[in-house]
Amino acid sequence: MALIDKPEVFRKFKDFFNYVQKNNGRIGLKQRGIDINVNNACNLRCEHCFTNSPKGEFIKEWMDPKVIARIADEAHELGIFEWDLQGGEPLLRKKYLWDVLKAIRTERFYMYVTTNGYYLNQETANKLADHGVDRVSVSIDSMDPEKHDNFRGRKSSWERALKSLEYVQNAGIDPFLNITVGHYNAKSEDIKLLLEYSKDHKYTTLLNVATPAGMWSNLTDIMCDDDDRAYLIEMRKKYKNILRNLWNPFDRKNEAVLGCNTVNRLYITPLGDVLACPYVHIKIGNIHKNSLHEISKKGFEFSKFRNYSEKCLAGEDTHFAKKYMSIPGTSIFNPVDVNTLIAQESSSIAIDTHLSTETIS
Amino acid sequence: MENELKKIFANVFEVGIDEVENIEYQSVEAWDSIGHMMMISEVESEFNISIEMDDVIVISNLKECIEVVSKYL
Repeated sequence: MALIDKPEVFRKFKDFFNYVQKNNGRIGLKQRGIDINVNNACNLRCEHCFTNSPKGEFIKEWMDPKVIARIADEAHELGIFEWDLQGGEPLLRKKYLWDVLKAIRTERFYMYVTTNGYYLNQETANKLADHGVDRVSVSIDSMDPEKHDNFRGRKSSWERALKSLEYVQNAGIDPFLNITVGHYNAKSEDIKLLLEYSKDHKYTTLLNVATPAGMWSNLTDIMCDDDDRAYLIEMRKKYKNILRNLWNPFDRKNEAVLGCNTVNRLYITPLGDVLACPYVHIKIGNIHKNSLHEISKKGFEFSKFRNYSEKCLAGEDTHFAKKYMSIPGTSIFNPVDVNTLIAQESSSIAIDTHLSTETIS
Repeated sequence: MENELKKIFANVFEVGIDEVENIEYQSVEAWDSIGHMMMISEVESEFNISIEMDDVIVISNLKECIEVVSKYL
């Protein structure tokens, strides 16, 4: 898809570019995207699932397309230019998916669907294109089919995932090959082979860093360290078709970092809770009770979300992960309330101020 | 105006100033849709204008860009 095919998207993306330019290349408080989990059911049982879908959590809740239509209007008003429909597996109920896409009015957004590709064929890919989907993202874990299938918990999932990217490309949709990268695999041969495959097929590679959330809750050893982070930038420069959400897409040198996207990209659960991002399970509002504007404002009240971080808080900042993501039982359906964190922050500032005043006096 | 546009094209599309008249939309790696948006933004900022979407779509080389910008000055 070319940006100029969707004038509203072009305009909003240009506003985003201008904001970033004026803000020294940083994302600041600019809203950019919505990641929405419309339903948490999935046909695969991925080891690292951040939504706990393999545990069967809240798999019967489907978000009403009328509610999604209202949220899309609010998002458009806020200047949000990209939407990622995800799950669970969004292609489980295709009729529902078409209704959701119609409700969003996709001509206003760079629209993408994140899927495991298992139920994607040429007909479905063509229909996604007809419904205004610009990009389809499919995760691949290895070029070894057995390794991928074992990780995903189902045979043939590797073969179907790779094939689905071909269907997507044939349909004129941007094919994105997603790779989850952690300390355990960042510099591995597996990742190199995947990067080569993606480049050779003219796909875009999206790197998602592994996070200690959901099924991998508390596993901070999986997080990328500084060496891994530097290595990924090297790969970015080498291949030139690699993206991360926190990298600056306008930097032709492929070096600059926009900053962690918490709150800039809002994550909505099937219950309507809005989290700071898909991997940081801190609730900043609920779409049934608050407007997106109010929710964003609330999210940025917490300094960790407001201040620039060159590291992904969930996948690279071990201090953040240990302090805010390791509370037992936390999930996308049982998130920490940001108000608690804001209150803690205020009281700690008050104590610091009191102590420094006492010291001075 | 032409010289300013040439500088913008050379800078955004990462080509030599003597090459800017020979390139077209999607003929070089840097002139993809993001590059197009960046070029439009730079042009708007340089000349303090706001280019309508109908004109944004028309521009696919330097000559067309000069024609479009001329309308707004």
